[in-house]
Order: sequence, then C-alpha cells, then structure tokens
Amino acid sequence: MNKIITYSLSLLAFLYIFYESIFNEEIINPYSYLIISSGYISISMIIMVLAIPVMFGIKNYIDRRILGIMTFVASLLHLSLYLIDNNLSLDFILEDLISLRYIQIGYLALLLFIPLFVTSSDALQKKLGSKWLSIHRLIYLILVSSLIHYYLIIKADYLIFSIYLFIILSILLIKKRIYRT
Amino acid sequence: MKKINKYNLDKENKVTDENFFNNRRKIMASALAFPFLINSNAHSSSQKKLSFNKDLDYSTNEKTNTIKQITSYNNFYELGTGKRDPMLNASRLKSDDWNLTIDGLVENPLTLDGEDLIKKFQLEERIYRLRCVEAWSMVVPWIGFELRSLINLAKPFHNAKYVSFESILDSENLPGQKRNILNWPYKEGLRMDEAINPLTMIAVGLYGKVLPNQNGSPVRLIVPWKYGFKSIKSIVKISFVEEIPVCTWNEQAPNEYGFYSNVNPYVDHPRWSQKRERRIGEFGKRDTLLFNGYSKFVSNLYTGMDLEKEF
Repeated sequence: MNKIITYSLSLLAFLYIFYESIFNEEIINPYSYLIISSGYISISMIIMVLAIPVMFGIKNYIDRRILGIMTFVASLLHLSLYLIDNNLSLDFILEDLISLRYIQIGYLALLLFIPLFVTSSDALQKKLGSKWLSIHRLIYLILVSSLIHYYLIIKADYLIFSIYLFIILSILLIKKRIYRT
Repeated sequence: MKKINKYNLDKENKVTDENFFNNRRKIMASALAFPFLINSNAHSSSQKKLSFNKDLDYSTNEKTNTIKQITSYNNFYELGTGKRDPMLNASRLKSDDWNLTIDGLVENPLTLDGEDLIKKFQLEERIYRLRCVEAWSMVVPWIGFELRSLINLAKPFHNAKYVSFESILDSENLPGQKRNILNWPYKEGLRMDEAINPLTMIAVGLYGKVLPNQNGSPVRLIVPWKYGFKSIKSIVKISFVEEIPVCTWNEQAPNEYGFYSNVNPYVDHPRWSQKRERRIGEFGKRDTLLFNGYSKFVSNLYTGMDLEKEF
C-alpha cells in the first residue's frame, strides 16, 4: 500500500507539470517551465527523502526507498527535458558540459545518484551490510551539488533559494536532535 | 465569431491576429471537451489606441509574438521577479500624470508629460527582435519614435558623450522595490553614437495601443541589438552626461553584465551560454545572431573594439 501511495504521489507531480505545460494558457514558455519545475520537484524530493524519518504523521504512509528511486527518476526527467530543449544535439550538449559550471555540477549530482539506485534492493542492502549506509549517505552530497547547481543560475533574487536553505537546515537540526536522544 | 487571419499576403497580415492567438488554447481545450479549463483573459482591450505609420526600413518580417506572450512573460523587477509577476502586479505602477525630464548637458532642457509623449512626435510601428540576456527572444511590434528626434530637440552640447536613463522610484507602490534586489531606481546608459543610431527607439505603444504597464508604461527605451535589460522601462529622466553612466545590472555584477551588453553569441555570460536562444512559441533553440541580427546598422559603432573585453 505504501508503495502505491509513494508511486502515485511522485507520478502526480510529473503529470501535474506536463498537464500545466500543455493546457495552462498562462504558461508562455512551457519548455522552460517544464525544466525549471522538474528541477524544483527533484530538489524537493531529495529534501523529502531526508525529512521522512522525522515526519511522524506521514512516514508510515511513504515508502522511503521508492521515494528515493522516484527522486532519481525526477532528476533523469529534468536532464532529459534539458537535452530535448537543446535539440538533442551532441555538439550543444558537450559544449555546455565543457564550459558551464552549473551543468557540470548537475551531472555530478546525477552520477552520485547511480550507486544509490543500483544498491536499492533488499538483497544488496543485506549483502553490503554497514557499507550500504555509507553509500546511501551520498544523498547529502547529492543535495549539496543540487543546491549549488540551482544557486549558480539565479540572477539576482535569492528569496526562494533562501527558503529552501532554511527548510533544509531546519530538517537537519531536527534530525540531529532526535538522533542524539 | 472571432476573425482568424491567415498570415500570408501582405505585411500587415503577418502580425498574427491577437484574438486568435489569445484563444488558441481555449479553442484546443474546448475541442478536447475540457470546458472547466476556460478562464478569463487577463489582457484588457480598453487601452488607448494610437495613430502611427508603419516603418518598412528597420522592421523584420518575422512572425510577431502574440500580445498575450508579450504581456505575460516579462522581466520587470520593479513589479516582481517572476515572469508572470509584472502582469499580475501591473496595476501597482502608477503611470498617469507622468513626467519625463530631459536635462544635463543640453541647450534645451525639457519635460514631457504623458500627452506630449504620444502627440509631439510622429509615431511609427517598428517590428523588432528582442533578445533577453536569459537566452530567450521575441518579435515585438513597438510603437514610438527615434530617440534621436528627442535628442535633436534637446540639443546636447559637444561635451555630452553619454546618455543616462533612470526609471521610476516608488517603493511605496512597486512591490519589487520593497526589497533591495537591485539598487533602485533602475538606471541604464548609452554612448552618444548609440543613442542617435536610427534603430534606437523610444517606445510608447505596443500592438497599436499605449504600452501596458508590465511592458514599461508609459515610456521606455528600445535598443534591439543589445540584451533586453538595456531597454529600460518606465523612464522618468534622461540626462546627457560627460562620463560613462551607472547601469544597474553592470553595478550589480560587473563581470557578468557589461556597459555595452551587445547581443553576441561569441561572448558567453560567465554562468550560461549565449550561443543560442529560445524564440518564445518555438520548440527547440535557434542560433543567436551577432548584434541580434542588426549588424548592418550598428557594427560600424564598434570598429576597432575588442568585443570580448568591452562586452
């Protein structure tokens, strides 16, 4: 049941932005809307993965592992939208990768996600034992790279970014408190 | 029934019928039997109509963007930093009783009110490309006059080397000015030869009517070969000066936004590429052109300059 809830919630987020980009006539630049909102969804899902253990009302309904996998899917969607937006041209994409810092950090975040995705099964968790936990701590590094990726394309208004930062720091503080006691 | 134009034939018809475009998604939505999606149209048609000639020398034949696109996807930080904010907050800009002051090193300082701005000069429609520094672009049918007609009226002295522009400062009403996102009021500047170039325009209208607030009502600058932020909106003061004037984005991040800020696909923004752009309404990206495709008119202004250093 938890699995179904988690899958549906994640899929709902994707469906919502695709639906809006096609049918909401107020969205003038739908491709840019899709790229930006899939980015926000990815970062928000990473934050939720970290927050779930301390969200006592919700945690019983969410399968954290499925949420993690769907976060990876959201990031891949974000990447695919960017690739399509660049006319799927290898030249354009390589050029960006070579010259743009925020693109490099975006790829780094995705690469760091791969070991988490690969080792997400129960069998591998048992097999890897304590190593499994240290691999999955990479999520913090993924979060930091995603935040830098986001920070680097802000022009002047850091308000929303600061709100994200505030939420993240609050969650980390709460987690620290809880795990200490 | 709404009239739907086909855009072939003559130039006038190439300007796509705005009603049709405003309603294209409604038409699609009702065709798909989703009547609950239909919502009211934000753009009012009550704005004052202007009389003007159509320019053929400088206008592009490219398909213009729709009034809806031009009025609901804006960068006008005084009205908010989101793309839709300027439209949503448009009423916060008090553009009645406007006065535009022209001063500095001039023989004939003057002040123009709202009426002067649309009556004093022969207005013409110019269809220009607009390239934003954020790598998107539009084609816009502006209405206005050449800045040089205003300069001829003011008669600058020989030592006036630059023109400086200043936008409205009204932190009580303008939501964006309640926070120090930029160093308000917004300022921009041009070199004198750029200012008297026939492409450089003072716009007072859009699509046949006076400028909507979100597009910089009642009077703004249009410099089509430079990134959009140079085309300062809602101008209250134009000064003729000897020294290079302060420009807001240049002041904010001098290594990212130069004084010239000419559209140049060979000089990237330090954080993103300027090689290509998304024309609003098109799928995928197209190549960005040097001087936004206006080389013929402006490249002589920059002969001998290293455009990578003086960006």
